[in-house]
Amino acid sequence: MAQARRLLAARWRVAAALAVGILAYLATGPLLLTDRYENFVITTVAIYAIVTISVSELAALSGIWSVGHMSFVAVGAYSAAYLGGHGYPLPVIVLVAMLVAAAIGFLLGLTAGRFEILYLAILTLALALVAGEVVGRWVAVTGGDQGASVPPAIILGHRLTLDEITSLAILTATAVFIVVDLAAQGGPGRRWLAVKNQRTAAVAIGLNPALANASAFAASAAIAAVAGVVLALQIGYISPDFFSLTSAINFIVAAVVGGVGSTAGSLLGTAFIVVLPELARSTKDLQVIVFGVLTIAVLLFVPEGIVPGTFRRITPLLIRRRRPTIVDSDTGLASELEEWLKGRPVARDAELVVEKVSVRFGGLIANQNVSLRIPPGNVVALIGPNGAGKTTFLNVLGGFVRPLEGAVASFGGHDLLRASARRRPGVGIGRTFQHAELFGELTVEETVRLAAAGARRPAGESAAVSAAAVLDLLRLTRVAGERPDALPFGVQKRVDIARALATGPSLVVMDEPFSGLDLNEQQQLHELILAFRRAGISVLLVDHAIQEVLSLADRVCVLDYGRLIAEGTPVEIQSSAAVQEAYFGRKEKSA
Amino acid sequence: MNELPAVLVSGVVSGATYALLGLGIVIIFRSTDVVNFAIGDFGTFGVYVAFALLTRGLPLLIAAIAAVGVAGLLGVATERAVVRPLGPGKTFAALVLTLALSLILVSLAGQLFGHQPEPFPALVPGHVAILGLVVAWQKIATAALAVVAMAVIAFFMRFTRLGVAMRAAAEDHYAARVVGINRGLVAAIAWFIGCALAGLAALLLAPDATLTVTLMVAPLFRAFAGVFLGGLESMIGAAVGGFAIGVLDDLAGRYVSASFRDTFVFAIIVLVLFLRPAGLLAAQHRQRV
Amino acid sequence: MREAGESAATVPAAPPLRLRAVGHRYGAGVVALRDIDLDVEAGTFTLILGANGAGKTTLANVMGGMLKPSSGSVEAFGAPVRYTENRALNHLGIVLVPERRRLFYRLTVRENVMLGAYSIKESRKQLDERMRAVLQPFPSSIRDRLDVVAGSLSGGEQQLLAVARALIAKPRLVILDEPSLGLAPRAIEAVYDLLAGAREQGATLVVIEQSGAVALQYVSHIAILERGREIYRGTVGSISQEQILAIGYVGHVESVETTSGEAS
Repeated sequence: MAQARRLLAARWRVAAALAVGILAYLATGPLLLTDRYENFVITTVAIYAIVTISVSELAALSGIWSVGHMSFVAVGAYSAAYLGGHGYPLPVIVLVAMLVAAAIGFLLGLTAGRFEILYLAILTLALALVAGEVVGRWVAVTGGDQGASVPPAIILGHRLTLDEITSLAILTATAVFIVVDLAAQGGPGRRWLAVKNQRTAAVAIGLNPALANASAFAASAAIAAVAGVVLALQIGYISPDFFSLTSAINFIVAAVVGGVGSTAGSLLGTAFIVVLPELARSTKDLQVIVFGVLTIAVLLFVPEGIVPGTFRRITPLLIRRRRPTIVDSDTGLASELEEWLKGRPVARDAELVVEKVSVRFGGLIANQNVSLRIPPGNVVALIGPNGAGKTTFLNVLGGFVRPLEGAVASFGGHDLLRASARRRPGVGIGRTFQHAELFGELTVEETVRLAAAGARRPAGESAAVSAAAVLDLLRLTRVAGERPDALPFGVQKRVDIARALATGPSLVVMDEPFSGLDLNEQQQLHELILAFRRAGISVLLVDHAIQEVLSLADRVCVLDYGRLIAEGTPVEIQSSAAVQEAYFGRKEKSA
Repeated sequence: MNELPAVLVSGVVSGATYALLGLGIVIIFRSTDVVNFAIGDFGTFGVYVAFALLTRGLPLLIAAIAAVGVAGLLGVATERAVVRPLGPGKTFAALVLTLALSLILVSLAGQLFGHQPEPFPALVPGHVAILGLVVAWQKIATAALAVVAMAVIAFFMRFTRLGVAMRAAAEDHYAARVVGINRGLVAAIAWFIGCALAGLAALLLAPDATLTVTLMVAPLFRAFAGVFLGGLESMIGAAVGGFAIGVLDDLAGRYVSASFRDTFVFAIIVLVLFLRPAGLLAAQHRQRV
Repeated sequence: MREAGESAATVPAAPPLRLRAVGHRYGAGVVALRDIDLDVEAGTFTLILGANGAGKTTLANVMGGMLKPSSGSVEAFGAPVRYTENRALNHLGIVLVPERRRLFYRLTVRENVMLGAYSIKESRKQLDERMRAVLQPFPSSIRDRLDVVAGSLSGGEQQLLAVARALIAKPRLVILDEPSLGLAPRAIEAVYDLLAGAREQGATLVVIEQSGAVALQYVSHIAILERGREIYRGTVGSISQEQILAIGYVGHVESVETTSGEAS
């Protein structure tokens, strides 16, 4: 439903982009409505809009703000000058420019995970400065400060006229807008958003964050390079002045003013940075001041950008959104779930074996010689006071923390210590989170489908079908189209379970699944975990809710100060003196 | 003749101004989460005011104080007028906002004072020979003033009630309000100090560089390089980073390649960032278990 | 700002906090609080219980001066509370210990405690003396580690530090939002023991909790919140322990309403 609604919206936007493109083409081309100067401005807007959308969507989908996109434009422009000068045809030039830019973008994107947003922005700023120096000094290729002339474009033996270059720019911009929009709304966009919203959770469903960022940056860079080629053809002569830092910053302004992640906003923002200076050429200082003041005004009064800001104001008038209803009745949930799980292609004989895990942070011993086994189909609980090392242990299992030498961790014969974190769903380990950690910009359905996409499914079953089944089983179908922020916390936590289930796990690691749930929800979760167990799926339960833990678990392990101080059946644990001391406090009373 | 000592001295001196600017950037960032790209232009504007006062015959000392004060007050006004209304938690929007502000300030200075470079007098004229090395007093004064300013800031942040409150507010605005720290006051003071430091930096740079609207553009980028070397959250890091960049930049300019010095400096930063993503001296976040 | 000489002895007759018909909604949507009437009498120790989503943290923020409620009136010591964006009610002697503690983790223990007294004008020497006095009942894991960074304390120690940061402010009223969150019972008791001590010194206390397991042994009054509404209020003796204990896990408490009426 939500999917359909979004695709419909996407179709409308494609149609709108086509309409704008065709109108611009007709006006500048066959209908001769515009003069040469207006054509120049329109061409510039078209070309720069390509750059703006590449900057804007990269920010919206990956959270990466690039100040360095002018470098990719330069790659395109100088490819056109240099390769064109050596007689290469336009398609080859475009291809080479895209590949070079994509390669640089890919490398930068790979590092994105290591940096906070501002550091990455500065890294791209460094790129811009370096590009500036290279362009200025690498005279053999770029012509240095003198600039380089760009040979006319030849397509199929025909030399393009200026008007035809205008048409080419409009055509290219239209195509780019449509492709970018479809990618953003489709699979790649969803993956990028998931990584942007919740890196750890994205890893837990098997996504590769570094690759996601790198591919997003590469795609964005390649698109900017295309703009560079067309730009060079339009002006016919390029010099370092075109690629100054100011122009790089202008694209950020365009993206922010128009609205980050908005296609229409990218066009509008570009018009703002191109047309406004053209309107007041004579009074340079005054024009810049007006430009600056308007930018600040937009930031203050329509902070989400002009296009999304306008939509937000109009939409409530047009569409009355109903608040999402809570999940459907849970009647029969446990038994249906059990039946369904039994039919999944999941290894039911996998045992989790963990031995001698020790972790040290600086001088702090977080885990010391922790060993634990989860036989197939068992529920094992891990409890302990805060700071006992439970989270560290979970992080070792999840592949986020490396234990000291001598540790063993394997699941169904797979060595967990050698496999990277995102291989966990592949070997059958699903994970849920204390605070649900849902992908903020993805709907429930998109989230679960994304998780199902990498999972082992019965032959012929698509990820969408598999996701729909999980949503239906967990009574989430009615909220499938909602984003997490519209859902009560209890429902968010159930979506988290749905996401883990969709990866097809034979062991589910649950971090404080009971925390934040009301009694009803706790009861439902209790039933759910029992259904997992009956279906032969193991559970590792880490929680504070002692009653729940003791009544659910086959075995209980107690951590204190990083060491396993007790291990046994719930009855044994309850009567253990050491546990009483560590966990329930000295005074004798029921917890 | 060995040029190394002279290169090092000039590196340290320009580094001192980058360190001041960087410190200003970090103080403002920590208290309001704003990366202030216009900070250099606040300084330039202050020096233009000082220049106007000088041409009207006021003494250099008054003009110098005016430069620092005007820069600081411009900062306070900016915080009040545009940064606070923007609201918290909008790091990137705020960055764009200060970029726009920078454009406005440069053009405004151009309108008011003209685009022609103006000579600006040294704070302390003359030269002195130290161990056979002739150094301008201005350079020594630059380094000394910068170090004194940084020491004052360090004392303020570490030992005064208000300074500790500012560090607290930098870490957690909500918690700062909980203990009764007036957030608006803290933000205003941070902007004043930060921009006043930029005013001082501009004042120290102007005599060598002559006064133009773009006086602080190149120093600002080096200051940023220093900040990212040291870590955006670390005041000491920003200062050390600034000095390091000053020295590296001059060494690169002399011994590597005068044409590719930006590339060289930034290559080093990128390298450092790869090794230490949050900066060389960033606070090691202790991982809770 | 309050003068250093002022103390709890000058508490006026008006109750520390009086809420009338207080309601709050976030934006246009979620109603977090509705129609809360609450009197916190001087010298009492009130436990406000509620499940997740009952509006506990919203109420704590309203009472602590951090959040202006969208309707109703709040009076502190007889005067209407003026809510400002810029600071809380510490200058009135009302101190909040917020949810999840919210210490300054990068500052030292000493600096954290010192900032608790930010609203009080006094010399450094006076402050040092008071700090010693206030910290006296605290365990040595706090007292002897004043120059350690707060982020390196354990969860329990951090909660104790949060209490210390509140007590140094010479509070007449302390509001604690889920002080037992994420702590083992052992650590919770340590926190409540300190609070009981503060009460003996004359402070009025309000704790807001999801589970009353430990708190019940310490408090004098109880209020129960459900979905933003207050559904029960009384002294500790007026309601059975089992019923209260259930509330931590139960989202709704129909049984309480009926039994409190019938006094079974």
